Amino acid sequence: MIDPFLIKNSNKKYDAIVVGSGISGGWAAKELCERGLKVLLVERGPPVRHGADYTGEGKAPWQLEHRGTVDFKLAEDQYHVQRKCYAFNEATRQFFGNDRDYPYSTAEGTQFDWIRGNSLGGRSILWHRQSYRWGAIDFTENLRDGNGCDWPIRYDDLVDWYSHVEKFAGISGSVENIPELPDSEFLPPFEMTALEIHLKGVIEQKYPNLKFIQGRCAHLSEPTQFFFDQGRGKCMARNQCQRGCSFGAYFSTLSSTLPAAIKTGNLEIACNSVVHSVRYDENANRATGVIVVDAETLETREYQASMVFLCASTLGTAQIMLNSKSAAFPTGIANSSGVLGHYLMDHIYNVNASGTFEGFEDAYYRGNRPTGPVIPRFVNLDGQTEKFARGYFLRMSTERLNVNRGIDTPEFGADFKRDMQRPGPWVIGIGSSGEMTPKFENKVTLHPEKTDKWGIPQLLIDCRHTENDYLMMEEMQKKCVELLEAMGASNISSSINDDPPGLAIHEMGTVRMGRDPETSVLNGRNQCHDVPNLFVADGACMASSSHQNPSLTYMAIAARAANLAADMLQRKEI
Amino acid sequence: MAKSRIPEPPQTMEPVPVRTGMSRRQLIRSLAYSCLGLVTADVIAGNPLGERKPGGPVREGQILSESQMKLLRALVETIIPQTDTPGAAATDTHGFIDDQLANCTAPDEAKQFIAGLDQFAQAVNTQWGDEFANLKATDQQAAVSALAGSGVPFEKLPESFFRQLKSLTVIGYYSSEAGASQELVYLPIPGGYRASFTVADNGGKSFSPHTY
Repeated sequence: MIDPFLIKNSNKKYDAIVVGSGISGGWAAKELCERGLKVLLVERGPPVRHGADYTGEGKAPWQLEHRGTVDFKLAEDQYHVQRKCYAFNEATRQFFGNDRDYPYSTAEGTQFDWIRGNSLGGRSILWHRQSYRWGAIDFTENLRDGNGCDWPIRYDDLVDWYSHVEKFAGISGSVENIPELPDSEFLPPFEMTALEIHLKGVIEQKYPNLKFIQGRCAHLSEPTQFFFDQGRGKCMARNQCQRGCSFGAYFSTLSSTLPAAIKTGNLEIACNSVVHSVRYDENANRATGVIVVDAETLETREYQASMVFLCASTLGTAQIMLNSKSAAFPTGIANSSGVLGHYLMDHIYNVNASGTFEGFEDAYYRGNRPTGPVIPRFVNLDGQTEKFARGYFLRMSTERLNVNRGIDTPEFGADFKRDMQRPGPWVIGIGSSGEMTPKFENKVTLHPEKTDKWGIPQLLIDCRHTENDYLMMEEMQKKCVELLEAMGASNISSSINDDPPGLAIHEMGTVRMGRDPETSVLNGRNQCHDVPNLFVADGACMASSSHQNPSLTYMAIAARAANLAADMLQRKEI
Repeated sequence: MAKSRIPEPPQTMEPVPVRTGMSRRQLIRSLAYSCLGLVTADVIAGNPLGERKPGGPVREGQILSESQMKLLRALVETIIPQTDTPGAAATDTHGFIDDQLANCTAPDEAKQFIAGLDQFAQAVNTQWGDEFANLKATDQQAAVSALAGSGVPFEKLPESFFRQLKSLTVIGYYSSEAGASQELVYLPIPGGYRASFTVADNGGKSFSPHTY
């Protein structure tokens, strides 16, 4: 279905170029196309056809060459970073970036795990689909505590756009009326197990300020005709989403926004096109298009447009901008402020705790639920009362242990086998998701010497956890243990791991929005202060990181920015 | 940074890491129990069905020799024997392990495991006067029990050898077609999620592990 729209060379001048086809790029392209603009979507990876190219989908473990494990030498040589992602396996590998082809550097003494997509659809194929609106507090906290710069937008600026994207993407969840975690336009939530219903009662009774709710996710739990008309169907609860889902049961560019954009007749797609830089006309002070290197032939070509939307992923976008140098912008396009590349953030996933739960021996569940309960943020809500700034929320899983509980035990034989045949005890797991405050020191620059095979300077990432992060980790660990005890769990264990930033795969910032052109790159319309027809509408634009999964907010921001840009183009302001 | 060379157990839920096995301390405690001879009588006595031994010729592996494959086949079958469902030998779990060692394991780690296999073979020969595959089921069980507890005659084998053998056997068997779909319940397309479902509804069985 996408094939007729794939192009390679083009002399056209498009109304807009969108760089990157992940969650935000897909939304930007759809909205711009629906507004009647002629759009070129530029993607560095190869095309992926929804359904037909999900080659790992539906394969049983015994049908995979190595039962899911990626060949050691291949992983070592080409995926030494990507293999750290929980979803990296034989059936998903093709959607991940190749670390040999796309190398990056980290500053001495630092580490950053950069998990990347590399195909049409980007990380919208690989994401974990948890979908939460950010609350009003998330857009005012920079102002309140002085970390970072004030957001130029507030929750109210996004509220209609949240609704807009949710109705189209399909978000499953329960109505809760929690101010710091506003409700979405929901499809029904996934059910809680008998144990979860019990734990919800225990926690909410013992802690009147805590809520125990089902995790919200971009899955069609009970699709309506509107979604069937998109060619999408009900979630089958396989939870092998990262292999691709031909039911289109979870939101991805390929299942949702791309077909909508194509339907307008206004979209063309250039795959295998690695964007080298943005072309800039100094006299007009306008971006005129992008320079790309062909991923396969290494040939250079250009595409032209009246405006450029960068949605190349947080660090991808920063890299393109830093590499777009001119006499006017010697340190990267639209960088008169000098903050381009700075204020990189991720989420704090370093704390984990678990415990077993006795009882509910006959209770079970059928299917692999693609979400789990969460306990929304409950600290520092009315000003800072903790030793650290900002907040966190807790992600949970409750499940019955499966046969993997027998891996590390001395038992064997017929008794062992019989024992393994029954579900094991319930185990409750809690993982943290904390906010990293924006810091100027956490930054990316271009490596002075090293380049990749396309001749593009490598990104040099310099990002560390700060004292605030460590204080939060300590508190999160204490709280996780306390809550497990309150739930009645036993064999409780907890840990703070020393993973560097990156593995939460929620990297944000580096091209931040702000009110002041002196201290930010983008204004409240995601438009560069310096270059009016250059927009950044992916995670790079974020002025703070909240503690909640960001993708739904990227969708709302991208949809909003695309419509505001279309308005400006219509009014001939850009 | 080297990742664990033993294949990770397939994750079962969202990326909230959950301890699916025992803690290190628990493991050591259990091992201590076996060293003290507190292994359940049933394991030692063996299940009558456990007397059945895998026979027939064995092919040379990708990295393992014919005799190493023969030994490994008998070992995995001792760990997960045939009962009313196939055991680890019939599901070619030794073939799975050979494939993992040849293709999915760091060369050093594979070498170490193979050395452990040879050391094990030799110690068995010295102690029982025959190769492991030819021993009676009860002797095979006694040997594996001693191995799990680092007892006589395996005190010199690295502790990691049994752990690796056990992990690979469990992962290999339960990801085989019979292990996943006969011994356990395998649902390729559940059709939706149901929370009101009991163990009895599932015939008392566990679902096969979920992999992303």
